[in-house]
Amino acid sequence: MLQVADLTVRYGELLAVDEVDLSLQRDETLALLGRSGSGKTTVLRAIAGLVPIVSGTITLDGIDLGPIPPHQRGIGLVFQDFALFPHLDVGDNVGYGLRMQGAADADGRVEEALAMVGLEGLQRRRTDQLSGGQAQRVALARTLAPRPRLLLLDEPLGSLDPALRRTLAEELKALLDRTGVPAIIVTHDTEEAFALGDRVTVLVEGRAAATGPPAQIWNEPRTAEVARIVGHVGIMTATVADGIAVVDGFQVPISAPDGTATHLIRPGAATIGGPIAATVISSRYRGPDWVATVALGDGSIEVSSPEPVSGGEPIDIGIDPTGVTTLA
Amino acid sequence: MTPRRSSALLALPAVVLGIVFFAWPMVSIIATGLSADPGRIASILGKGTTLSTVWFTLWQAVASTILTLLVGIPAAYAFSRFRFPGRALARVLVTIPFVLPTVVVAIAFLALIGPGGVLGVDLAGTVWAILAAHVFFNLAVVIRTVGSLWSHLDPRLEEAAASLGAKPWTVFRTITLPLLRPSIAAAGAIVFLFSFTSFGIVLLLGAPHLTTIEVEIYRSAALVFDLPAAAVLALIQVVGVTTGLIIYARHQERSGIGQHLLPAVATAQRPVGRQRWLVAAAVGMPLAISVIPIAVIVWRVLTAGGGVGLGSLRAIEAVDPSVVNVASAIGNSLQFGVIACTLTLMVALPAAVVIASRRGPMGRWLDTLLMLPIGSSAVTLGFGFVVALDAPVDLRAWWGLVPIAHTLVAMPFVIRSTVPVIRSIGPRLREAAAVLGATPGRVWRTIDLPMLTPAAAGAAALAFVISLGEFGATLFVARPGGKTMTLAIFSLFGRPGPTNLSAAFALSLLLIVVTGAVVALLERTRAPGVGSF
Repeated sequence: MLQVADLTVRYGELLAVDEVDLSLQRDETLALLGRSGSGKTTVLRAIAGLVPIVSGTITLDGIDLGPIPPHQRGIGLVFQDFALFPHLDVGDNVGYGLRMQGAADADGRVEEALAMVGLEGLQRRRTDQLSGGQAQRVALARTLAPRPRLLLLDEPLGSLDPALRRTLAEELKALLDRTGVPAIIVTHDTEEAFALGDRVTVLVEGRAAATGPPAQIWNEPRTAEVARIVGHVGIMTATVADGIAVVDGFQVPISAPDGTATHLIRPGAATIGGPIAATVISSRYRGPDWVATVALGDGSIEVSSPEPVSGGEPIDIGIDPTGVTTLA
Repeated sequence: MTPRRSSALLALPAVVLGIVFFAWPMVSIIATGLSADPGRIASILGKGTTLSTVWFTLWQAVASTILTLLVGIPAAYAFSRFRFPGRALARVLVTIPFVLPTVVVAIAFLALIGPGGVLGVDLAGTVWAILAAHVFFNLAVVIRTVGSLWSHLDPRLEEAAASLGAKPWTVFRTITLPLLRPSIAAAGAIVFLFSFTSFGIVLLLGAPHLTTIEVEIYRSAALVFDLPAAAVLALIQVVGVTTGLIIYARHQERSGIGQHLLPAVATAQRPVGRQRWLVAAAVGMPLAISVIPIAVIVWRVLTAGGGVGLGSLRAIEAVDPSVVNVASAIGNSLQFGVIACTLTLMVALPAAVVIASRRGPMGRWLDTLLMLPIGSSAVTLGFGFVVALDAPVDLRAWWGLVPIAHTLVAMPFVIRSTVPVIRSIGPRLREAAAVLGATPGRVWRTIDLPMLTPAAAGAAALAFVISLGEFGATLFVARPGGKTMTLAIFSLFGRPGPTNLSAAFALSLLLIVVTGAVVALLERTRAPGVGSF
């Protein structure tokens, strides 16, 4: 239903978004993942019509949005920090879009929208008397009340504390499933992108570097940059000949084409006990186990350890050949 | 942290000054007014001229306020939301009129739209000249007060409204305007107060039927010597002014509350397309209003001798000293300026420190007390000195009353501009310095002092300029040998002869240059706070 083609946005000299292509199906949620400054918020603002685009097209249900001003696009946008109107109470915030549409029974629909996010009866509350989680829900209700064709969420959980984020992420997921509204969620948090997105697009310096279902992005992150953004550690260069890579003088069998390339050793692929004599850099306690960071080749890998190990200690590790991916 | 006790004592000089030279004179006026024979009061109040004066004072003040807001709000928008070439210069230019002496403003408008004026229409003695001069004088209040809040408004609120389906005009009406309302109300209240108590402008540009309460207080007290009439008028004045101040104080407190304010740089952008015309119009209009009257004075000075040149500055020397002693007026002005400036720094800065550190009732009480002179009209203050300061020691002939009056007039402005800076220092920085090992004394020396210095310099400059331009109070309390430049301009203008006129223009230009330089300095040391002007 949404097609973004060759989208380019500039802020003066700065190329914020560089020829990005996106598509979104009905009932689908797309997560835009990237570091700050990667252009992900700008993509949202361009779709909402809040920044002028240099080139490219944005079509919604086959209609070119280019000449349509933001207030006629029918696209809902939830801002980071929520942008609740401080001079209006909760009810008037949620009813704002409905009044703009001249909707009949605005009060009833405000009530409905608040009930949907679990804030029944909060209409007359002032916005500065809301907790962070409540403000987030009011912002969602305000955006959903006019029944937008498309929902855009800019770091919807970004300003909340970690404990709350997980709960609200689950709620948000359930809400999106229930309403069936297609959504694009901008986030810098991999876990959040994977939890909420049916598909994930990773943005690097204004370009769409990878797109796919979360498992595919995690397992086959195509480039080292994408691998780092989704949180991988074990990235290193190695030369492969006949299915054997030589790392620090040890022969490691991996399933990769011949030649010198960057490789990703996925978490879990490296285990304690094996032919490679390596050295621990540091370790930290993760919960049930310790994670040792181990120097290997021109990089490092993380290995789970049942006991604490300290930096400088020798450690023997092995690598599962199927847990290795070649990166561009 | 500064111990609370010594901190409160810092406000003592300001409180003493305020009580002796402000509260006491005001109480004396009220007593004089109320102790008059009831029949006399009734006859003063019932006189047709009194009623028409009050009516005119009120409606011209309302009209001036509305006009100033109409021109000032678009300009505030352009200055706060856009970056464009020459923005800093344009901002200085539209601010200069606010610090110009009212006598100079009046003379500029006489040269522009008075008899034989440059524009070829004589509007002197009409309400148009008064309204134009008030807009000219007060524009900066609106542009600064509204603009400073506007530049900190989160543009995402407007974007959120647009994405919810609000048309641009609806966004402005339902989001921007309500969020700006406190600053618009505060600026409007200030403009209203200044126009309500307008003296120099109305004295020179008005007519017998176009006169404000302020001018009538002066006429009754100084020309007709009808003290009860002056006191009754002053009472009416005080009531009007207090109402305005209460409105101002209420909105000042509320401005910015509950809003997510952003650093100004984050919200300003370059205008594109149609916005360029909008910005050009919004800035061009106030710029023209601000620059043209000043340019007329420059033009008059340059062309006074027939040719073009600065020769007419000589007119200052050519004035007969026995008529108006111009040289002594310049000397007096500078001397009073320096004294008022020093006094203001010694008295107002410590008081500002106390106000900034107290958010409780004591801070608010002090703030209100020291803000009162802002609207209590200079003429009433001067009249109060004459009424009150005869006992226990007769101070009425003392030269020191002039700089003291100037200090009282300057104090509210100085406090308004420094309190936000002091508040911005915040306890965190002091705590950070303390945990890094700085003793309380060193915290003050290394944190407070360097951050306060620019604000103090700005405050000093402001006090100096206000002293130079003060007219209403000075007219009452200046002794024959102690006339100032504004009084000299007033006298010269009232006398026949091209030499006197040239000298009046030359002196006016001198004041414009000095005040212009000071505004440029203020612009550089401006406090990054919200709601100050």
